[in-house]
Amino acid sequence: MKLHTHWPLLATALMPTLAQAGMNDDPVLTMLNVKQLEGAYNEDEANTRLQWDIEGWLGTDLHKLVLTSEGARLDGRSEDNELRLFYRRAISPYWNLELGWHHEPLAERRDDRALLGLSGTAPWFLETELHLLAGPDSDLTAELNVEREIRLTRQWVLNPEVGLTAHNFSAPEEHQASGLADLDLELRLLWEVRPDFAPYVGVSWERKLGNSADLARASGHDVDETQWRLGLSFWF
Amino acid sequence: MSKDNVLRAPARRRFVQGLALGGLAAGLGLNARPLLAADTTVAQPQPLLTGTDFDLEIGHQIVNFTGKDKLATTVNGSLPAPTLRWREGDRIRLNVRNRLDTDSSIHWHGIILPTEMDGVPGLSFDGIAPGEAFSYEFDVQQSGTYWYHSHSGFQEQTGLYGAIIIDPKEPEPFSYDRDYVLMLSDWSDTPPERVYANLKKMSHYYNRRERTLTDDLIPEAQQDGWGTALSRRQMWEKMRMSDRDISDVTGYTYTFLMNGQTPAEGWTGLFTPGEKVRLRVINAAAMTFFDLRIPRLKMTVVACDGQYVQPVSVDEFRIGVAETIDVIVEPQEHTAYSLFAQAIDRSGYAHGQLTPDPALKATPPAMDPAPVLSHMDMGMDMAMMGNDHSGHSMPAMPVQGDHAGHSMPMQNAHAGHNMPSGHQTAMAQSQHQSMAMPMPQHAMADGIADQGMTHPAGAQSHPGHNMPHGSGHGMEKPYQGHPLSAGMTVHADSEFGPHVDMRAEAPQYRLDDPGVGLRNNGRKVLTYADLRSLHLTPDSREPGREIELHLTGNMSRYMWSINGIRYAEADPIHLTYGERVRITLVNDTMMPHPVHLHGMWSDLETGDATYLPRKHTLVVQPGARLSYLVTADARGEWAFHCHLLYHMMGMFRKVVVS
Repeated sequence: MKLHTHWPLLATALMPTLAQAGMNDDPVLTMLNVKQLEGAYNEDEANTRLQWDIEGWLGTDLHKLVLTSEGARLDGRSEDNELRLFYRRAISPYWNLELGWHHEPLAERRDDRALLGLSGTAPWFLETELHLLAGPDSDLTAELNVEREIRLTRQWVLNPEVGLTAHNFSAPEEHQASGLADLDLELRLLWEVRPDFAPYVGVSWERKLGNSADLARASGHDVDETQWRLGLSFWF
Repeated sequence: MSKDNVLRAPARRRFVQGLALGGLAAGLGLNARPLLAADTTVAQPQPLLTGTDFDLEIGHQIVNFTGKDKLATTVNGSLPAPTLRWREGDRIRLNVRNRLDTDSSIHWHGIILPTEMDGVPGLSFDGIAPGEAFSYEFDVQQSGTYWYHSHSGFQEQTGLYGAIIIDPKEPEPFSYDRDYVLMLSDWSDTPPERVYANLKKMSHYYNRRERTLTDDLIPEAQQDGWGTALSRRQMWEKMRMSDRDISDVTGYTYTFLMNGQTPAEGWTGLFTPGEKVRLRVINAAAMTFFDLRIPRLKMTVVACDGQYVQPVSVDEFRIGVAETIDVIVEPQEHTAYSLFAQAIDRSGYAHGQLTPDPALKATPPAMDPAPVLSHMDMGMDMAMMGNDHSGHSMPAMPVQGDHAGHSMPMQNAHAGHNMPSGHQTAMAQSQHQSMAMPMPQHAMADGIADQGMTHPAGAQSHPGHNMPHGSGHGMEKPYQGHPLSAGMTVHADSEFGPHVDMRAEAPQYRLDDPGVGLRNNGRKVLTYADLRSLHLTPDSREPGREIELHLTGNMSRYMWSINGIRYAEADPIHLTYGERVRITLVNDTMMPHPVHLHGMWSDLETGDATYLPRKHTLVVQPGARLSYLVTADARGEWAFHCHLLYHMMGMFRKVVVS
């Protein structure tokens, strides 16, 4: 199923439609949060990808149905596309439990996996997301993502982000091996024109770790990658 | 006695307020003022309707407060709605027709009347359907300054509010030469449904005063060192809260209005030097608390929420949403005086002027610095955060100096967690004989409150702990405590969960606390402790029981509730007809909530039971408690709610008197 190709349609369906809140304190709302929509320039490859990280949800204060899409396109071809559809339930003032489905339309294997997640705000305003993906044969992948805002001025915001991925299995053709596999450091500088609209510049450095790095080296690939980014962040 | 009242204008004169533009206005046959005239002429008095029979038509009107034409919800094409002038003792009829395409209603705020005339859809009546009319009819049993507004949806935010003036049967206990309504409100070009949705998606959307590196941290670090500057930030960061979280909706979207006029237009009232001018200040805002002052002019507060109080001379007062305060001023000089009402978060102000000559203009003073919340404003000693109960594991905070003088029952900091569940269950039923009764405190010494020293009968009280005084960077001096003392607070089980992010651990009576942003500002600021009714408390009975209600919420999820239970899931509060009951409110949030009980007076307990001020709306300071006595003398179903418009849907209860 190529759900991702229908994303624009889904986006339209998720347009905010709060007609009359009336006395209902907890109306069903929708949000389309385009966290990142960017051009990413890779010096080594001297090419520019179109990348995105988008989250849409439909729901109430404590219960939401969430659809996320993360991916990249290069020269008209899709790379690294993944879709996640899950139920997000508030379990404490700052934390949510997530349960759902992970889908990679382009991967040759491990197409669909179950998703168990924990997301929320940790002390120090650390926006945190931990996703556990379970595929066939007890294959597990854990992804941890932590970011926060550092408000430089009223309008300029620095947004550092750290991502870590680990597996309990090996997939040599994808340079994935058991153990800590990827480290992703990103830094974005946003110009917050409005709270819901901010262009940004950023840089990211991704590095393969441990056995995954060995697999990449063995096949003659780089173990790290630097990208310069120029993009837009907006929601409605 | 009053003479030459400016308000005694011809009845049924109508003016389009603000910069309401021609198009639709002309279509409705309204008398639109030319756009450019606003900055050169004296503002027209409010449209005024007098008598006993009123025809009010709710409709839409194009207004322009920001340079963009927007659709407002108005009465008779006017924003604010026409001022209604009634006479105590009259039986009045108000025929209200709804020309909107949605249901509407009008609630007469603070008016004592039969429940079916109260105008709350779902409680008093079914609301007014599009095209339909509803006739309100009731006897006017009171006098003073009140107001009216829609109780449907978010119509109040878009302009459906107006003043009510009731002339008394008996001569008033003060005199004045001129009489003006000052109706303060907040206007947004963004539709209120959108504002609400924005808050749900990003609760700090409208807060443009969050701490930044360049404006706050670096200057603080240069002054006090990085260690101090960072440690000052530590507690709030750990709690995932902002000490700059003063207002949910701010001047970022709001234009603040005085009698429907922007600060640029500047509402103008005339006086002759030496005259006494009565100002009837009404806060008709959806979300904004205002701090009003008239530089160089003392104000004598003579009434609050329509009811006479013993005169108090002040420089400034904070007026909560839905409150009314009547003051008398005596400008002596031949000069224009600024009517300066800054929003509590200093994100903007409403402004007008009193002037002896329309050619003389007053310039507004500079706004005060943006307030910063202190630990006291969270009713805390230490952190008491939600799910992870981090208060238990947190190290002692560095002394920041802004909470000195605040008594802290350290030993029982986590009482809510440690209580036997029996107490919490009792609380969950929202009718709870509190363990802490308000008692005058006699153990005050040197102005340093150690509230723990008071042991009210039957209450569990604890040795207090006074933090040393200090002076933090840019912090206000400490508040010194209040003679009413509170014991331990118990939080209901229903207050724990994803919907509540904070519970005040040591909520104190803070009636003499002017509130965040006004403490020790060098001006005499009105507090609730200053309010003494002019008349003896009408019902001197001791309350038969106490109902303790906690105002709760989760700021980041933008959820609001009472005792952790939102209106949609709450049982009504039952009062027995004729009973005298004490209602105690504990504010478990970081912002003040103006709580309004319909249909019955609320006699605020100030420590002097003889002259309890009568109010219809009571502001509970953040992290504080407050109590008042109610005589359940009106049968029926009544609304009880926070009057902040975007809190109201959740922070609401039905009160049944039978």
